[in-house]
Amino acid sequence: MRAGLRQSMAWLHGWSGLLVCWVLLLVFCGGTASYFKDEITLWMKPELHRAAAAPVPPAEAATLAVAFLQRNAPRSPRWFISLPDERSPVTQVLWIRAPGEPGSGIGGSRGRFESRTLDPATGAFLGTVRDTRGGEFLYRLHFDLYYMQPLWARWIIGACAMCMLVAILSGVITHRRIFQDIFTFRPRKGQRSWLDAHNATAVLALPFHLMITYTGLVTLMFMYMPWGVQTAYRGDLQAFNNEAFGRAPLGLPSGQAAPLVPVAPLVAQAMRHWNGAGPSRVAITLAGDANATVTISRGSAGALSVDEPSMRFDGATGKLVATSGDAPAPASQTRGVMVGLHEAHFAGPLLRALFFVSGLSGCVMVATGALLWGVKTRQRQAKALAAGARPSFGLRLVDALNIGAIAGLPIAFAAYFWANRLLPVAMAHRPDAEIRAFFAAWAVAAVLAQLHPARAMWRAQLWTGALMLAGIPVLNALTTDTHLGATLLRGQGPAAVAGFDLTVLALGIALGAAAWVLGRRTAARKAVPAARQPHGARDAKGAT
Amino acid sequence: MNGLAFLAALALVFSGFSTLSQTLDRHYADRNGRGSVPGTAERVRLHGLGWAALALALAACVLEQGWPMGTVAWVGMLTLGALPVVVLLSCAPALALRAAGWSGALGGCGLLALRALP
Repeated sequence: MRAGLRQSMAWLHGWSGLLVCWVLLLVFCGGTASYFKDEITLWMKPELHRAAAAPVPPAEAATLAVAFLQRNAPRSPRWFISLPDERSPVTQVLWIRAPGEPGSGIGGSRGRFESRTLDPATGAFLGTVRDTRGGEFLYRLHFDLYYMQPLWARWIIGACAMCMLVAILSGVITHRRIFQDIFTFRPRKGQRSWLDAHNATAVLALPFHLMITYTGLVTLMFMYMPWGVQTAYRGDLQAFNNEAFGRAPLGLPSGQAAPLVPVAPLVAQAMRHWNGAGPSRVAITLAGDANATVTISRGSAGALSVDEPSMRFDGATGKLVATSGDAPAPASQTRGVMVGLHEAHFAGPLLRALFFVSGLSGCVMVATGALLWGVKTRQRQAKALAAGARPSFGLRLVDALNIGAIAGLPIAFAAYFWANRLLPVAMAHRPDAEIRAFFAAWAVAAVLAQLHPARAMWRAQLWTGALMLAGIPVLNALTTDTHLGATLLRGQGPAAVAGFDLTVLALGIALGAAAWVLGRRTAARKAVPAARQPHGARDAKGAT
Repeated sequence: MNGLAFLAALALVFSGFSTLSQTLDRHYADRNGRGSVPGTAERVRLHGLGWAALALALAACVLEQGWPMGTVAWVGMLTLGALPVVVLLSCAPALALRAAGWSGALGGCGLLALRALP
């Protein structure tokens, strides 16, 4: 009976993994990069590398941002201000355009939203900073995908995450020697080595994998399972949001003009209430109207939960209207901690690095899992292949998709960063062009893989990815002053920029090592007077 | 989390997992010859040392940043510290146990320094 259970779980693990593994790889790569979303954005805006000089007090930055918005978006119903912190040295403002107002055409204009990056010390629009979506694109990519409605994308991602959860649980059940083999890796043993690598990256980071998959579903639970809220609140989602998250309801304008109170005293009052903890965001509705509100949210740094305590003030009188999140209810706190664990906003640089390594281990787990399916299937077809038959349709498809995803994705990521440095700074629709570079590079890699899914293609794409990633620090040195020489040796420029350069360099070297090992194997195989090995029938990777 | 606590915890996790790996027949045999298995006393000693090192790593994380964050950091440390153990055991098994002793001692010193330094 036990063997029967293990076998059925192995079947379930194989198929629930295989069907979604390529989407999951994208999600894992994008999500892992998102741990350093702000740092990636900073790297992609080299004009800001010098701005990280003296920190500006939050009250001052908020006052200057409000002044900017009063000049530039007086009729907008909602303003959002992200104040500078250690990870992001600038003030970011975002507003909803007033009805009927046309888009500015400046890059930070998406849908109904306009956004600008401001100098925190002067409140001036940093117009010379290149327009890019930076790490935000990679973050959105990992649950909204691209080129499709976010709603559809989130359902797809949800289904894939559910399959992942099934694959993790069935994988644990089917792994007979989970404790005995926990440190085992046997290199140069073909299928055995791939299985060991898959097991090691899966089991050693198992707490992370379980947590990230489950909490990933929790982040979107009100979309996947809306019925509880709908029943309890009789369909009034606004009321639920107000109660659960302390979100200010968007009131209607009174029509009576009333000047907005200065925000600096409100920020000071909020900081006193939070024992000196600084605010991270300020949201203002209906500025200039008698019904205006000012909501100040504390940063979540230092607490596991993602729900930030906030204080809401009357925008015309400055009176405190409500505080929320000081003593959250247990259910709300549970959700907050789960989402917090997923996003890791609380983590300092070193803890963040631990999440990043666990995420990378997840990428390797998904990639080796996908490869294993091909390796196993190829072994089953070994006799026919040796006799000169072509690989089955499924095997060829999986091989091609594996090359396109595993070797192609690093190329796409690298292309995104290369485009960021090589496109003209003042180009129109620059962020879109960068994103097109990502998908164009990926499409080329995927199509080439479909045309010729063979060992040579693996090597070519792995080398391309390796050179493109390892070339990024060189490109950075050629196009900016904050290269590794300056950031590491002379200590100039933000440490995040050096960290980015070193990380992509290490990833490039790792890919290069993979390509090199693969090349040596191919050479060794050619040296042996092998049995007839028709072109294209050689295995994709590693089944030596 | 400061650098010293991070390195101390990482060294302790590495030391703990390397020691615990010797309780597994495969890795014990890699070092002590084919077919040899650790005796009961040896096994108890290895288990004790290994788990103690992991517990000290938890202590380093929790002392540094409190229970909620410290536990999260420790679980991450377990992953990061175990990966080099896998690599070392597969390419230089003899080195793994020697490194376990050194890194355990260094990690312990780091932990003491964490407590002693203001």
